[in-house]
Amino acid sequence: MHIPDGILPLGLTLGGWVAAGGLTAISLNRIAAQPDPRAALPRASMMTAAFFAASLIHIPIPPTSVHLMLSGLMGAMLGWYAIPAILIGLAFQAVMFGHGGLTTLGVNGVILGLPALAAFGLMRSMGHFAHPVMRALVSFATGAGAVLLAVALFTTVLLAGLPAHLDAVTERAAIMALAIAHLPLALAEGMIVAAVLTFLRRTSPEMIIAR
Amino acid sequence: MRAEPIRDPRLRTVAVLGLAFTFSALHGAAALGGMVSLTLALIFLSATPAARLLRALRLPGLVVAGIVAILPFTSGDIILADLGPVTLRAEGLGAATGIALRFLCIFALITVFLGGLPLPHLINALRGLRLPALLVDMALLTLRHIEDFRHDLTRMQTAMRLRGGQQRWFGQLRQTGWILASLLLRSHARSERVYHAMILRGHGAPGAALPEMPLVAGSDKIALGVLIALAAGLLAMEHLI
Repeated sequence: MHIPDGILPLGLTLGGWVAAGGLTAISLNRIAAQPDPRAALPRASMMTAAFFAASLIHIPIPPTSVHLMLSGLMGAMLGWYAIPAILIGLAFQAVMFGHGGLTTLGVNGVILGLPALAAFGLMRSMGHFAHPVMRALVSFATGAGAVLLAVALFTTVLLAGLPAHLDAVTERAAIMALAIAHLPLALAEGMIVAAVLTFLRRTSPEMIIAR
Repeated sequence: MRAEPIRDPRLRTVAVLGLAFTFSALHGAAALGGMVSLTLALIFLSATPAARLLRALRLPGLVVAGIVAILPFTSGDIILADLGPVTLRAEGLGAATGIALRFLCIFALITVFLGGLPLPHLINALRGLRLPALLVDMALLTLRHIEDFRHDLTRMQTAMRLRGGQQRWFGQLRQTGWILASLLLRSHARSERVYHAMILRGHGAPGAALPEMPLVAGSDKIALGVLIALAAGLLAMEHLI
């Protein structure tokens, strides 16, 4: 779900940096307004390391395996801290692995950051159900929904930014192919996020910011 | 022997960002040619081994490879060759070539300018470029946790495999969730300890001294100036030729 350098036009890459900068400024403002703005810093750094290392966690989707995205979990556990955490994780991935890109850092930050904020909003508004099954369902929706939203944003930006025009049939086929290819990932990540949040609610609920 | 085009990490960061954005604006054949020449010159000047570039390229090229493989057959009206079930089209081929060249050149830039730079130096450079303190601290702490996290993850996965018990698909997902949750729990306790130890040592206290940034060498300023002039030349070439 990382757009590499070289594909998007200058306008989109600069726009992505401006949008990511704006999101970061809003997030830092919200964090600064908290009673102790640095209280969640260790957790945010630990989650950033987890986001960075997510590519090492392979989940079986027969006949192949994919790696986790974790932006829904980041949103649920970090709230506004998720935006800077995702940007730092993406920057490290770009510099250390060449995964993603430098000019596309802003666009990729928005593609993964907005679903994280949506997950935060969902958990905050609906995560307080008393019934464990309902809570698990909301947690599932947090993980799966974040993947689907990220796929939608990724596809939109990629098709809008390609330097060559694709005909309508090819464009529809590309969108369908990307959606179908990521559907199993969305389901798998939803289940994993539900398992993680259920586990943490029982053992260490203070780790979930949007509980 | 490695001769860095620019030594100061702050100027390196500025140079790589400036050149990368310039490269992403180039589409014409002449400008793309200039971009490739400049990249080759920088690789030569920095004496970056080709093997290192190729090794670094293995991972990230998948999305680009997919687009470059599909575009020549799906985009454009001018048919260059009829290859049975598919037709090779001029516009798609041109766009795919541009994407591949820009990707490779920007990738090489990152490897040349930032590849050999230790990440703590890069983070300090970003501090020097006035990145907010919270982001700098988060980046430094993240760096500290990455290796621990990788190590713990590998150990837990090995332990889980050694305990045996092949699970079905759903069971494996739940198991992955539990591994991840245990890992987060353990890492969280450690990250809190590390951060509180840092605070006890005076990190972030009012008046605490930040690492001093050395003055920028004149030769680095000249090198950055030359690179900016070359980037401007490429942009002019894009619009004039």
